Amino acid sequence: MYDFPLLTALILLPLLGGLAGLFFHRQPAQARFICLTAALAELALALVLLPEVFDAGILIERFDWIPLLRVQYSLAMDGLSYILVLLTALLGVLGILTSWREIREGVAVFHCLLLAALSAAIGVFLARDLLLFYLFWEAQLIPMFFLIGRFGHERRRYAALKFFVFSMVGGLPMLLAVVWLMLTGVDPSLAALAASPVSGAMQGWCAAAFILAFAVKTPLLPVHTWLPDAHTQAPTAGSLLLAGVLLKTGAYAMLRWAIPLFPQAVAAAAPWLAGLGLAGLFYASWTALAQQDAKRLVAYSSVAHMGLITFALFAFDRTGLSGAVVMMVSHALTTGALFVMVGMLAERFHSRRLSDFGGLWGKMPVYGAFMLFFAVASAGLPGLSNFVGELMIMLGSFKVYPVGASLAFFGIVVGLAYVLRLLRGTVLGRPGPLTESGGAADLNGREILILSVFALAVLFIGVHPGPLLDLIREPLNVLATSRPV
Amino acid sequence: MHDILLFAPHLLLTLGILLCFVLGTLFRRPVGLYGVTLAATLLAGSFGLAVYPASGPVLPALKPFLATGMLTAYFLPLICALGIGVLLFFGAELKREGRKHDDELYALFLTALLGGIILAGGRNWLAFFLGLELLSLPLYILIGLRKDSGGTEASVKYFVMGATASGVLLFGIGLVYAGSGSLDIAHSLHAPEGGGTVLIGLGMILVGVAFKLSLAPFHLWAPDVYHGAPASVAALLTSMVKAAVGGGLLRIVLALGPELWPATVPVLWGLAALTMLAANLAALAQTSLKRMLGFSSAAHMGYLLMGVLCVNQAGPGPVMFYAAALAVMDLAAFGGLSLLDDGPEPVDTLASLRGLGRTRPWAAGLLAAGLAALSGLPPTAGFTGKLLLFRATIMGGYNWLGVIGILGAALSVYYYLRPLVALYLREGDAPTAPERLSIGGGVAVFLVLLALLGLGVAPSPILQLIP
Repeated sequence: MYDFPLLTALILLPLLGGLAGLFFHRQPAQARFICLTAALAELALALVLLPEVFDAGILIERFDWIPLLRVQYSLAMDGLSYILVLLTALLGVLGILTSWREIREGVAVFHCLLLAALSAAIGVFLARDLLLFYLFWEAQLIPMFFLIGRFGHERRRYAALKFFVFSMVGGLPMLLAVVWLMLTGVDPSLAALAASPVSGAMQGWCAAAFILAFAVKTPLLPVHTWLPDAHTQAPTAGSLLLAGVLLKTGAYAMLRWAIPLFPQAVAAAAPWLAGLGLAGLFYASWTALAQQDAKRLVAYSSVAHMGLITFALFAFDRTGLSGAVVMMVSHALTTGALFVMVGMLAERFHSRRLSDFGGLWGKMPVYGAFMLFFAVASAGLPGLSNFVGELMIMLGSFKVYPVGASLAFFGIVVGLAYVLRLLRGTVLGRPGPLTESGGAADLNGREILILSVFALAVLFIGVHPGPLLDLIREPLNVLATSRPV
Repeated sequence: MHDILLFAPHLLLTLGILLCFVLGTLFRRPVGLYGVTLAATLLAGSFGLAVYPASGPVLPALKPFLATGMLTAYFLPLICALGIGVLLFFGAELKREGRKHDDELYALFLTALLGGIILAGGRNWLAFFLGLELLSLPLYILIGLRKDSGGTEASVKYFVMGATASGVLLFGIGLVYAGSGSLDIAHSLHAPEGGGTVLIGLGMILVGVAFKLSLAPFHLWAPDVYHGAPASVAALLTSMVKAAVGGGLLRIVLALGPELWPATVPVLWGLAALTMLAANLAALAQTSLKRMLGFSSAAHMGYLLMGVLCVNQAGPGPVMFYAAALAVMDLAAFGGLSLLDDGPEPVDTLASLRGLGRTRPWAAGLLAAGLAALSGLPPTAGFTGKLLLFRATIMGGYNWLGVIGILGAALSVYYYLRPLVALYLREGDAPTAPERLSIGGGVAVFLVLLALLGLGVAPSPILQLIP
């Protein structure tokens, strides 16, 4: 227990910063500056907590919230939560920097929504009470809905509506399951619920409701269709948060809630879910190959990576799990960076069609270099972060599903093909019609700064994943013991 | 002295009614009507809060009439608080219509309020009927407030439906009296001698109440009425009236003895399931926001019925909480709409809402918050209310009804979102005037938003009022 509620501060700081920025909605520059300060303060706060998490292992905050329902306001941060919170805070800062020039209207509102989305996601990562978790889970939808629908591209309203309806309808059965679990006699904290899982057929029903909600967010194969639309239409920072944070809440919730709460049901369904993850990997890689729109291509690659992560989660091997978490972080960094880079392209040329570009390297060498770096990182080049994740996933899950892991390997190879297509459509290949036009200014200092942060993080995890693995070791050990074979 | 205190809220409202009329007779353009109305409501509510729950009245004439228990203690201040909320929007509407000095409108409003507290706080069937009629009669006139033909049509529709419902209800009360020999609600429904007659009577009473609460299949009049009525009167209809009738219904259901429950359960189950599905489906197809909110309000009564069905297992708490939550949500939605609808062009279709989120942030924000709460998004009153209701349903063992409820809620997501999209994600066609919020409007926005979020984030204080 801490005297000062640091975890609550982590959740509230972005939201309050955003609201403070809202007061300056007539002075966009001030609003932007206040919000950037709030995001930086959040990142600093997250970094300050690092030694504490290393020392204590877990930070806890708890007090009664609705005593009648035995609901507690209960937060906890272990290494796994920490790494995702840190990632969220980092992406928040980078998201604001990315939007520096892109967003010119409604600046204060945009940043307020962006920061509110961070708050909700951090709440999801920290909540340890079922109702509190559900609250943050659903609250995530609101800022993202408006971010996509208000600041997105041509078909933004359609995409925003689809995103919201999919997520909310997916989440409603979970509400029923949450209520059921709250009535099972114990208090609805994660620890109590995991200690005495519901038995019999009800476990299956509850597991189905939870997994449906998480699968929509992750997204798993048949319920993924909202994602390419949402990603394509969202503003760059929105795509960054979607890929880097919101999808992670889905995978994280599977790991943190679904698997400990319904061990038998998940164990029974694991081969099917792992299979769906694999199918998603193949399907999305294949679809990515056919995309004309660069952002859509990256969006599908995102689905593919999440498919691989889901496969690893449900193979549930200790090494594979670590790999999945590394992959979650790495996916946020590489895919996020690719979204940012496509956004930079769209900002300059007002087009995202691959056929419009090509051969940009000659005109924008710095851009080309970064693009090449993140593209090969996304394809899993050794020495970069994705490789670490993929290797550990392969090693771990091969013990459980040898055939599946071999297939997953081929899925990754298909991934190489769309990465090459992306490269040929942008920086390599024959110059397209837009490349010749005069708009091809190379990256400025701010853009280089953003991409360098991404690149350094990718490189750091790639060559020295030790600290990251140290952080998540203990939490994953705890999770792994809860699972019956 | 004690009895006078018990009766103080009723007396204060009556005094307010009389004062309004006196002022209207004495002056050609009376001032201070609004103040009198507001003060009467505020005082009545405060007295209700201070006096109840209390031991029963001493006077033998009052004894069978007035319930003084926890239901009254909860609903009486709630109804007055909702009345104040409605009044804040209503005053602005009257000002716009140029009827600020019409004494009878204020008096009618207070009469409806008086009816509401008699209905929710009465312990025998006469009080029940008296309250319901006193509640309905002023509404026939208030609904017709708008001068165009839509207002008249709505008023006539509500009158015909209301009169039919009253007839059926009165006949049902007669049958209950015939079967049990008692006019006391609790006594007549608990182990009556003529069980069959009482059951038929009860059925007719439920039909009457279903009309008033617009439960399916008796909900089809509601959208027309809301469409024709001014938004603030619609707010009155959906918030205060429904809370009062809900309180009355709760009193009946809590009094039901074990002999009558088995026959009542399937009826309530069917009504709830039908209402949730039919009203949500119908709301999907609406283009007018008021009609959509009318169907949505009906759908929410279906959720409320789930809680009513489970009072034996989960207690009356969830229903009481949801009655308050729903009233606040509808107050927010219709109140926001009434603030927006102040120009020459009516604001009701999705197209007319476009872009208002930016030009009129506060009024549109209230409407949007109401819609978000109605769809059950956390952290609003709607979420906590739904949580408690589904909890009650599962405690009662009606899992399938819960599944139907979730299905209805899933359907509703889409039609609640469309106005939000229109408000915030679309550009308006014509430049609108910047927002001018009156003091009353500003206070209303603040109070309703506070209640909406307060019930969602910190429901414990309210939950502690409920046993």
